Amino acid sequence: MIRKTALKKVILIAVGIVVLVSLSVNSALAWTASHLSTLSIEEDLFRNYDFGSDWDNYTNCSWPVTMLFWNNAEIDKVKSQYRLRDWILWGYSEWAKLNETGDDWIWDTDRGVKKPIGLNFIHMRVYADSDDQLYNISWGYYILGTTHYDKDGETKCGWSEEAEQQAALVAESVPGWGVVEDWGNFYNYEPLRKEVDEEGNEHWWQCGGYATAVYVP
Amino acid sequence: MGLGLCYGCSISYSEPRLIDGFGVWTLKELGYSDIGFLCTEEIETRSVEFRLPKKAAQGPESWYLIHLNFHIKFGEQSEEDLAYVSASTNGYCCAQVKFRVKREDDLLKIDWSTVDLINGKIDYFTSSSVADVSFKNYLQIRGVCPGLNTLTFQLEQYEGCHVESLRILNSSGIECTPIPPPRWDTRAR
Repeated sequence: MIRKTALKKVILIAVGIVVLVSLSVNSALAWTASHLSTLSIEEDLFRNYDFGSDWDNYTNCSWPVTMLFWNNAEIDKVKSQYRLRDWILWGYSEWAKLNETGDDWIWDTDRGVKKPIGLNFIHMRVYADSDDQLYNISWGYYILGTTHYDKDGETKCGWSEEAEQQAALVAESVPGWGVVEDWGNFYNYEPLRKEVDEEGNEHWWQCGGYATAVYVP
Repeated sequence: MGLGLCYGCSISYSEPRLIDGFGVWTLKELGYSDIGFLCTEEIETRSVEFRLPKKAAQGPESWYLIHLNFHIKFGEQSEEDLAYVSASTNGYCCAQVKFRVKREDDLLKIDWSTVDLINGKIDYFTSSSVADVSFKNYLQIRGVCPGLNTLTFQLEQYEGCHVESLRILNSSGIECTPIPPPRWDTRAR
């Protein structure tokens, strides 16, 4: 509990909001986010949504960042714990934009881990630098995650907030891991709303704006 | 088992030594010998203790780093998988070494990688089943406390990975320095 409350003291700073307007919608997987921003923690920077490709634009977003695995986290380590709990599938790649050096931004891609629930799926992608590890003196070794559901043959996707709660429940079941749901403001609030592309695919935005923090021992 | 090698789950002395000046304080100087792991569990930890001054904090005048030096050997029967050696102070991780066991032409090969605030990401490759690792990094802010501090070493090995031996060398320790992390920005405080 000490760790959880102490972590809350870390201040996230939203240092910018992209307001560029683009009229181009060139991909069935590109959706329009409400609050695409850059967040900073110590010397690190990251964008608070993942993207459908390596194009940083609010019309090319996929899902809000809803999960932070911190302290002693690493991509393979976190995924292995979810795979042990039936998140055994994966999806297509999405992209996250990160900056650990303070100099150059890098893109990381991930296909995630995915759990079948009847005919539907719950899907979490996790990102770090290309080496699967990120470090700063506030969060230790950390990675970031996005969450959503895939329903009806993946023609209806979204509900990130509800998916975040399911991902948090899994983390709570791992011995030693500590979970604080809706721990910190990642400035990516999305009211429940639907976008539909030309092929009729539905993208359901839903995010409380506060990410869940998972302490990995 | 080497002379002076300790396999206890927790190693404690009646009065943990005080780190009260700049310099590297090795485990040896803190009163500890090399620390061995039994390597029989998926996750194993070993802890030692030290003390810091009453006003100790991670910056801005004094900064604390982990020095982690160890020797690890993987069993020849290991299958392709992952293992991690990490270190933390008071539960806050400051060192994470990721090992990837591979088999090529039935030969065991070990790759490992580290990330730290001084050198960034470094990849290492070897065609042997043993590795000697030397690593240093700045502690987490919450990993520095006035008074008693606990330094914990952890081995994690998954699935078919089999670590045969792990020895934390007593040249490991805690460094206190006036030098802040690279890119540490006082304007952000």
